[in-house]
Amino acid sequence: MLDTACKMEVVADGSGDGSTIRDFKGQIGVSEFPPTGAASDPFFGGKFWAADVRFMKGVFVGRDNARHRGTFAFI
Amino acid sequence: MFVGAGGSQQVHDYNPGEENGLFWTVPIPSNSVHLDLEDATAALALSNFLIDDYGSVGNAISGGKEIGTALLSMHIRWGGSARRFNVVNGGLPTPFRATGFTTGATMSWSAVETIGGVTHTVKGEKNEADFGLVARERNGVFFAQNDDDQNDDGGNGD
Repeated sequence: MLDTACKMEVVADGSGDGSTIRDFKGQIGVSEFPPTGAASDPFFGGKFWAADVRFMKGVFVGRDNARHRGTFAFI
Repeated sequence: MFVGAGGSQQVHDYNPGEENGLFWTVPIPSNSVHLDLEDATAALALSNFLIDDYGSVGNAISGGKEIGTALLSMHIRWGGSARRFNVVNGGLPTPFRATGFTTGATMSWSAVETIGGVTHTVKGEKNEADFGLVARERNGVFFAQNDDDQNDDGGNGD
């Protein structure tokens, strides 16, 4: 179990807080990909992909109320 | 991943679940991420990252079981079309402030997945994001902090 606080505010268009870690300071990246990417899928025959992928790299306050340094991805 | 155009007939939904208490958010190696905020560029690379496939967002959010597990590799690059932004929102339960750039981004990925004992490779060809940003952010207890210690905001990894 991670000593991290969680946050359920995930804003799809990037207009809000891009971080899914609260009590956080650091670097973030947000990327939103529309369902137009070409895909190959021999199992189900999927043809298109979309994604919302983010990173957070910095300092956060954990459930132990201590500061930690970490790197995270929202996938 | 979808069979139909426009995001219909979803057949794969790769996400790390919420077992760690975080919403689809997992720790990754610090060297997976590189950001140069002065150049408004960044990169995220993961290789053979173990992840669940829930089949669809609906199944994942409703607490359904995964349909398979995969080793996911992805590469995202942020850059181009940079526009500076600065946002402050103190009205949220978790207030935040961020300064950085909206950018373009590209991503490609592949997943070696086992479903029902059968292993196959799923691939997502390179595509352009319709939104991207790179920024320095503070939220929650750090929202009101005024110092700007570069060594305390992720620049040196974990």
